[in-house]
Amino acid sequence: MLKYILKRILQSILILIGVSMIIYFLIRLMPVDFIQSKIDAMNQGGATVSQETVDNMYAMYGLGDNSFGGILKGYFSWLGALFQFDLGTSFVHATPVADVIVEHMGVSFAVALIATIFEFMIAIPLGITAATHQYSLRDYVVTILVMVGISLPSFFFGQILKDLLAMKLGWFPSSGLIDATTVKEGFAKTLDQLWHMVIPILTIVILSIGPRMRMTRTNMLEVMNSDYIRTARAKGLKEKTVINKHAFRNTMIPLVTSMAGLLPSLFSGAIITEQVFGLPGIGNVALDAMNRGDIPFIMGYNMFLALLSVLGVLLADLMYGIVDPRVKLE
Amino acid sequence: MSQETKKTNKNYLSGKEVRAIAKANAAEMKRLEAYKNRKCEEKEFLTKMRDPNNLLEIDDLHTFFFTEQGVVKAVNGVSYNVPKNAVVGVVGESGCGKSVTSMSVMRLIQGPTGQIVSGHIRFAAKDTAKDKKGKVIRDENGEPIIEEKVYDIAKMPMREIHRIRGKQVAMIFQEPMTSLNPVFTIGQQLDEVTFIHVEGATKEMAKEKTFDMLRLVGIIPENVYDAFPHELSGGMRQRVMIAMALAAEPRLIIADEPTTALDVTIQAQILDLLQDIKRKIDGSILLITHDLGVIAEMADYVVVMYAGKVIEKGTVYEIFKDPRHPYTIGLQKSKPTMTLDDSVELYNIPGNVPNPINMPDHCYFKERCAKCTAKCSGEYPGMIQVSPTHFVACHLYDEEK
Amino acid sequence: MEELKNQEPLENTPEAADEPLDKNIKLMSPTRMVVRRFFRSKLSIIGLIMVIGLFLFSFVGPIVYNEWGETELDTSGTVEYVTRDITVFENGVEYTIRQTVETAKRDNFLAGPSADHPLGTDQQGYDVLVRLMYGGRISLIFSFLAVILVTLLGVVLGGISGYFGGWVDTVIMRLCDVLMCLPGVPILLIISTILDSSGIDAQYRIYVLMICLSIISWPGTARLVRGQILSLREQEYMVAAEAMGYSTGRKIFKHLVPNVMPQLIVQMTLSLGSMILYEATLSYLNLGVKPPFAAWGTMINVISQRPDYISAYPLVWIPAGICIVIAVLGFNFVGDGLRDALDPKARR
Repeated sequence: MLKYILKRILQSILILIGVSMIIYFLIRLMPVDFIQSKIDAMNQGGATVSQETVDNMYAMYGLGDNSFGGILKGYFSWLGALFQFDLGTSFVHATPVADVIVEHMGVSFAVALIATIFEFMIAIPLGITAATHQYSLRDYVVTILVMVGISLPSFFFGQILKDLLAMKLGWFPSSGLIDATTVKEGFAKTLDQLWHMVIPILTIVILSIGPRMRMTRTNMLEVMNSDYIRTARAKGLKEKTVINKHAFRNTMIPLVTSMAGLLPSLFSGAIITEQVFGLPGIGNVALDAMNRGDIPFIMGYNMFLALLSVLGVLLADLMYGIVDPRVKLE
Repeated sequence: MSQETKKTNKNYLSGKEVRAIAKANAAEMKRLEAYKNRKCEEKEFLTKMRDPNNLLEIDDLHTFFFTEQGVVKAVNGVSYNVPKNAVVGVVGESGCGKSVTSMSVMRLIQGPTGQIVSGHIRFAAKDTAKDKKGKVIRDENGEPIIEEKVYDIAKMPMREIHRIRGKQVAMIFQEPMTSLNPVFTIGQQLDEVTFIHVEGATKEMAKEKTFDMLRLVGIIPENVYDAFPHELSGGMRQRVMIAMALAAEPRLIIADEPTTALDVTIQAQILDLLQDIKRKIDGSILLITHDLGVIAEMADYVVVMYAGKVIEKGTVYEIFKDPRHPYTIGLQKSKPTMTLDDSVELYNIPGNVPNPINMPDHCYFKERCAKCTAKCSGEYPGMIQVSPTHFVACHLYDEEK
Repeated sequence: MEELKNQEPLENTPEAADEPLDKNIKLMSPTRMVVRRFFRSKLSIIGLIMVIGLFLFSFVGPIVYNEWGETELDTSGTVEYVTRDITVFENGVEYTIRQTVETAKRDNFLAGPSADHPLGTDQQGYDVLVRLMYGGRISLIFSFLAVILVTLLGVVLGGISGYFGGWVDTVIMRLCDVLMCLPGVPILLIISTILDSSGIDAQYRIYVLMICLSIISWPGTARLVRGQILSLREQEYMVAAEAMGYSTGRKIFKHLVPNVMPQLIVQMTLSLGSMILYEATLSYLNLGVKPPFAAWGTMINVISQRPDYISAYPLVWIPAGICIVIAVLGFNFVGDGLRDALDPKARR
């Protein structure tokens, strides 16, 4: 077991190095004068990017030297800095990239966590009833709802919800995280922030329920047709117990595994949703950074995402070994 | 219609036919599903045995599968009895409907495609007596009174079927490898049987029962109680399945090809075990197999099935010493025997079991039969009594009536 | 059913002679079975109608409705008269002058629906309906090309990986791992920034993005193909094919391809929908199709710059959103129907 984990971690590091290479070379594809012009535009717009920060970045990425050796040298100097947890200094925020990520992660995490909890709480029972009532009206209704959910573009659906619930009905605030008109402290502040998150969370939940429900339904159907369910019925168990005990445990195996895989997405932020609702989450910050050419932040953010997805795959595999008694990690 | 089919491939259905099939099927399946899920009083499915010595009477059972290709009449008017404390063997080629019959007894036919269409499955159950409100009647000592009730399983709604399964009829399946739930331990799965069927069962009681049952099937309980199914071999898993079937002390055990999926040496062990259990339990066994050797060794009565119908039934002696139906005769000839004469070729019955969609009206065995007469093109032969216990469905014996 | 039972036996064909009873049996041909299963689901039919309708709308639409071009501004601007009072002090005396100014709106923008513009015009003065049609063209072309490219890459690389195994397999699979860990949208954002700096023609940049998207999306297909090949290699009939001495190429084409095809078709149909979503998202972020060219995503993007349009001018952005939903839903319905129809395990 320990050997397996060590092996997997080693593999993950190799994958991460591969990912970092791709990201690094993509950044290097940008001409230097283009970067310079972006920085100038930023300075004109009121930001103060000191020449020192820019020089630091040039040194860190080894920009300006486009020979093969230069690119290679640049990559390793960047990688070296990365291993010292130095992701450089963000141009826009004028603070270390790691600090910016940590600062904005909270909002994204809160939204994603609440949305994920609701997603599972709704999708799993729906998927199970759809499967146990296959081909019934219930199954069709659930299937159609799922399909519509999958097909909605988040930026469009988010806007519609915003228009309807916030602007027309005025039930919820339309954007941002803080009500600027009143001063709130402590618990009231947290409550206000949560209140601002309602529509974004609703958007995410409706859009993400579909795949999860479909997965539950497919698994459940497969399980319900298996021999051990027939055995359970033959024992004299009532259908309810067959479903809730024997089938449910087996259906949960892939679901729990996928939950581990979801862990990274909790921290990475939903770019589009955050943009639509003006939430100061990490996705929105990243989008802003891309538009303004904040190279150090873009690099740092992408590496952060890559690290999360590598971790997700690893966690999911480990989870499999824990949940399914048949799987031995070796 | 025939013109339309000739245009394309005549072995294929035309679109019109396909739609006709689908429409007829949908209506029939809907009706039968509703019947299965209905609510009803107990008296609606209470009945009486024709012969009080029988435990199970299958009477003119029809179990059909409504497929897109047409109706598959997997069980088409099957009747046979299982007497109390007897072993009845059912033989036949694959796909002759022997398993579907047993699944019908357990009501495990997968709907909505598979449905019991008509017929009776009378079963003499031993159940706790209940008053009109459904409360258990108890004697002076507080023990529930056990009485014999005859249920027509084919008429029971699905919500009542748990009364039969496990406690009255238990089943051993063909595939021990996949028949145990992979996420529960052997102990959990065996204990569960006691929890379902014994009122107020405690953990200790269940575990004790499980240990007894495992010992009965020749397993050291401590070794497997906390094991998961995948940690056991196929033979071991089949033993666990047998233990599970025995745990609720059912009146009837259906063994559906219990040895088919196992190695030959393990097969012998499992058969020995079944022999042993046959002596130890107070109940009957319905043994389904395509292996005549197994039948000869274990069964008291034999039922021979072909293409969804019973073609011959009788005591094991009658079927082996005096087989009447050409198919039964052929089956016995096709069994390998030890002879010194190499020149004796193993007999094989020509052709295949017919596809059970759109069966003809005449004897289904006609095309494969060596003793076919002109009469065989007529209607399907009825059951002819050869001796008090021996019946055969063949025109050859018509005059003996 | 009665009809079928009484059917006359057909004359003996050579095959029927071997299995005499089978002459009474008629089965459904495999093709008919798939077609029937597909059309049995009403959702598949709705999906098919949506997809066909969208194709007609996008490709035939601009031919029929040809008053406006994709990038043709409506310059018929209306004339407005603004009257204002100007107060002037002169020598302590207050004069009020009423002045009427004639302003010509050069472009007829944000017009409501009219005979000229069934869905009105957008903030620039382009005809919304015609922009929707051209946006559909871009979305459909983008998604089809991307899916074809992804499938091609996936099948070739997955096939090589599964068939040859060994170090080739290892290299390709590790590459898959790496690509699967790349964050999709952010990477495309970077690529888009690079495209900005390279000054590529606005008309072609969406296709460059498409190629990039395909390059990072093939691992899914490759894994599917590889998995299928690995499991098929273990099947008896492959051993039989080997025993019969079939050549490598023949083995692949005769046995493996038909087995992988159904799954591949389903996956391709479903990813058509997700590619449309991808394109729309990129365009929405102003990174895909750039003005003056039309795309559904770009049309919705307006409201992120002018939130006041959300309620005031719904016709500018809602039709584009509906088009995206119809397109994605259509492909998803068809894909789902195909999945059920092609599934050999389906019991009904």
